[in-house]
Amino acid sequence: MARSRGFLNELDRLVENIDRIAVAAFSRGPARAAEEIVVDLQEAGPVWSGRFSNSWQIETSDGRRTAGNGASGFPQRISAPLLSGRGFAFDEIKYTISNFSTYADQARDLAEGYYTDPGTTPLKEYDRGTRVSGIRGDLIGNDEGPNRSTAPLDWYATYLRGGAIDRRIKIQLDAELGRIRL
Amino acid sequence: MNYQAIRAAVENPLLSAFSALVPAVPVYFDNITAVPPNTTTEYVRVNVTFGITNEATLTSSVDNARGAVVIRVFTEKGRGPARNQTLLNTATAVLETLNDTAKTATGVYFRVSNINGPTFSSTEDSPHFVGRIEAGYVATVLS
Repeated sequence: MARSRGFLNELDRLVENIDRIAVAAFSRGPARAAEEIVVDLQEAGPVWSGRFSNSWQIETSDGRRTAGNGASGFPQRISAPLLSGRGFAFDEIKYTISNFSTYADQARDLAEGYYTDPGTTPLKEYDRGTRVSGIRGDLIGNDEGPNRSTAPLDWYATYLRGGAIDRRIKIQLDAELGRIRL
Repeated sequence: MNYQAIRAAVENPLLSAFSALVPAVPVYFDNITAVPPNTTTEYVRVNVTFGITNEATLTSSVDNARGAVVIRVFTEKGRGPARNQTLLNTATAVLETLNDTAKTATGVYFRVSNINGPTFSSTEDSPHFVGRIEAGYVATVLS
């Protein structure tokens, strides 16, 4: 009797361990993916002063948040918050990535805007052209044009819908699940 | 991979649909410099982008590409959204028709995912009211 109680206790501990490790993997995977997605967005998106690139933020479904400093300069990495054990639920693993820059919609080519060339050299390579509409990246490609753009038109839609984000999530989840040793 | 065929699979139906309207509405695609800056004329701009090419498939006889289709409709500002939305309806109908088209043995099998939008924007300076929809797509070039 005593032996079977001991076995049941061992079994309980094993189940607890599996729970703990799985929860950790399922929390760390999306967190790492969110961090890498921000890096991808910083690389794919426009970088003039760097303020837009440093204005990405990551929020979890239980209200934790980390954010860039919004300052000019080369894009800096941000660390994603981990979901708390209490906030964790398998059907509600949610990381929200957003940009708090005041001109985030214009930078992502989602809305028209006003553009003035500050006369400085952007931190990223740029293309020249003539802007046809109020859309940031909507340039007619001629090297002599008066306007400059540091990211192609619809770079954000391409990243979001073109499969890169799915692949990033898969890579990170696979990596975390691959680390599980029972 | 036949990028041109993939592009044509979505661009041709859009061009046909907008050309068939009365009056016809000009459609401009990537790297076409036909729109003079700040023109007040209504027009449609279609941007087809490529994301991932050649995802793993079950057979080696097909090529897969993923990307995004972004359609912007430029109409006269200050006249309400009706005209813009009418033109967006045309674009949406084309994308939905593509999804209803049966798969053939050869050519390009083109499918769009959720159509996001429309979203609208305008600025004080611009003569246009802009409506925008976007959708991811998966295109399979069948050998």
